[in-house]
Amino acid sequence: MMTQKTDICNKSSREAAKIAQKANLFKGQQKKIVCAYFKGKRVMRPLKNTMQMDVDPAMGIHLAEKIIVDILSRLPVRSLLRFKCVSKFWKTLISDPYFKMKHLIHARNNQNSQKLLISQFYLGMDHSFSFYCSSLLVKDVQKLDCPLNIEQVILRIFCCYDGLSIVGVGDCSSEEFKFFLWNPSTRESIELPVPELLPRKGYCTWGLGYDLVMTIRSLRLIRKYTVKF
Amino acid sequence: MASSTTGEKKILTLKGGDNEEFILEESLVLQSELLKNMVKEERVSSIPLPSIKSKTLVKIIEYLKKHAELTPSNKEEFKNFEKEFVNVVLEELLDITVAVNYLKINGLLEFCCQAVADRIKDKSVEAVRKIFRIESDFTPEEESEFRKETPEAFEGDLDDTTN
Repeated sequence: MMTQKTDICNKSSREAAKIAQKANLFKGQQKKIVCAYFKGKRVMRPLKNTMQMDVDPAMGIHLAEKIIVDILSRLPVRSLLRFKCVSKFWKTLISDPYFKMKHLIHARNNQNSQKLLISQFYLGMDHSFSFYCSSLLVKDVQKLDCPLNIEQVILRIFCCYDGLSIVGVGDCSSEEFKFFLWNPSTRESIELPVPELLPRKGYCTWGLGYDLVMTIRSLRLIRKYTVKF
Repeated sequence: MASSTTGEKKILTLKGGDNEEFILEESLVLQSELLKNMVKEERVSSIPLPSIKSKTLVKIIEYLKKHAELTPSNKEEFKNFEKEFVNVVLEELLDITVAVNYLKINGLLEFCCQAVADRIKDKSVEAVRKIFRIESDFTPEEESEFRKETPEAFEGDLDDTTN
């Protein structure tokens, strides 16, 4: 459409008059006319390929990438993990950092996407911890696998931010924690180095935040220790 | 060519893919950024939209009319209309979404994309491929790898229908 527009704009009025003359010669064959004046107003010529209707087997039908991104960025993470295997193009699209950011923006504004992360502790002979994820709107509670699949573990949530959380997974006997940056929606996790300054006894406050430069989206981990004597 | 004006109201003709003509008030089409630019800059009176099926165009014009009548008092009624508007088979909804994206009717585009997302979120991979007419370019081994990596995404009752 833009090309046609520029064409029209570049034509001087003389040229336009010539075209109008030609137009009179070809009355009844309006489809062949590039641009003509009828009753003082311009009639646009039907344009081919004005919409992205090209069929590409990998991309699918007439849907432009923009529309696919617009639709997919409104889906729950569970659907996205499934649709990654639709085609290589969809997988690339879903894994793209720009897409992830768009998805996060939609999720923030969508109440259905807001979830509560719960750590539950069963007291008993074989006491156990479990993580659950619950919707804030509907009754939908899902049990989550913990980042490190070991039996007899102590699980602790330290902090959460933008769908990510810092959890501690510990061994019952040694009480030593391993720290993970965990995405409960995708079940992805990264083990964090054990902080050297972590006090053996005392309280530790954790925080997650972003750099001011949001485009880089680097996560900053803030640890604050309060040693209790 | 309907390029006449009746009183103060300007009339515009939209021509659908199958050459069906739709005559409507110019003020209605101004909701579309694309048509607005054409009308304002080019002073056109007839706009051919060959890539939009007439059936789709009828639906979009219906929306434009309802949206133009929207006032704070009939908000509920409009919401119900919107719900009904997207209550069509998925293929038709996708046609509408593509056309709305082309015409740049921003509010409606967001609504359509959300409606498509709501309709496909519980679909199986096979159903989604059929809906978007995509042929898988993964090997069966690669596909089973995905299922192993995130089994929870493939669990439960998934919808195999395409409508």
